[in-house]
Amino acid sequence: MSWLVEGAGSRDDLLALHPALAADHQRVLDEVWQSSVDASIIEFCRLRTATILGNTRAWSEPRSAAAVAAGVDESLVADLAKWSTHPGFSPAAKACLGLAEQYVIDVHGITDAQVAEVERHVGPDGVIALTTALAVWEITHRFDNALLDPPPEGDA
Amino acid sequence: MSTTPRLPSAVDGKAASSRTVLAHSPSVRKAFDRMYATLWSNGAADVDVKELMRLRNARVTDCGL
Repeated sequence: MSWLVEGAGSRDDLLALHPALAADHQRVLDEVWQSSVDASIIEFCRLRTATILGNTRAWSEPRSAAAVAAGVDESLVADLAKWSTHPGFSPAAKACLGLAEQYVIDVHGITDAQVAEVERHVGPDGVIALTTALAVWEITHRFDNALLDPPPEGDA
Repeated sequence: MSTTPRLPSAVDGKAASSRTVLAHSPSVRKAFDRMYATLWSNGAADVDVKELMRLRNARVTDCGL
């Protein structure tokens, strides 16, 4: 539930208070999911940044259609906290997850080498799509944390 | 914070900047710009309040732009 409006129980309920912004927000997400970056990687980054920012609600949401279509591996999702040493994550996924973690922990700690490594895997357009995705996920996670109660235990 | 752009310009003849670098992904940039414009042009908060929030947020996050 949200303390902002009676009866609002989800992000969509709250965004519906501002339909133009809700539509634009969804449009950005649609573009990110359709970008050149593997949607599984985008989903890994969405969930990993949710964990770091303490948004348990993100984990209770259904997988995006794009991530499902990309064949996101649920066993890897379950092991996401171990991505840096887990052999199942591709070098591209590891480069992107490293950038994602640094982005939300301390964006000023991102290095030239780190961005170059991501660019090597996903290209400059992928870097733009990924960093835009990270920006949107960060505001989305903070929006949830600020305005919504966490889901009941067991739903996250 | 990086003092030099980490990606090249996507626009021929133009130096790398936030605008020309974002042009590597025009559809993403367009969607983001549209949302950003909506944030500024719609809603109950006055534009001067939004600008104060933008500047305060930039200070807190140490954004030099």
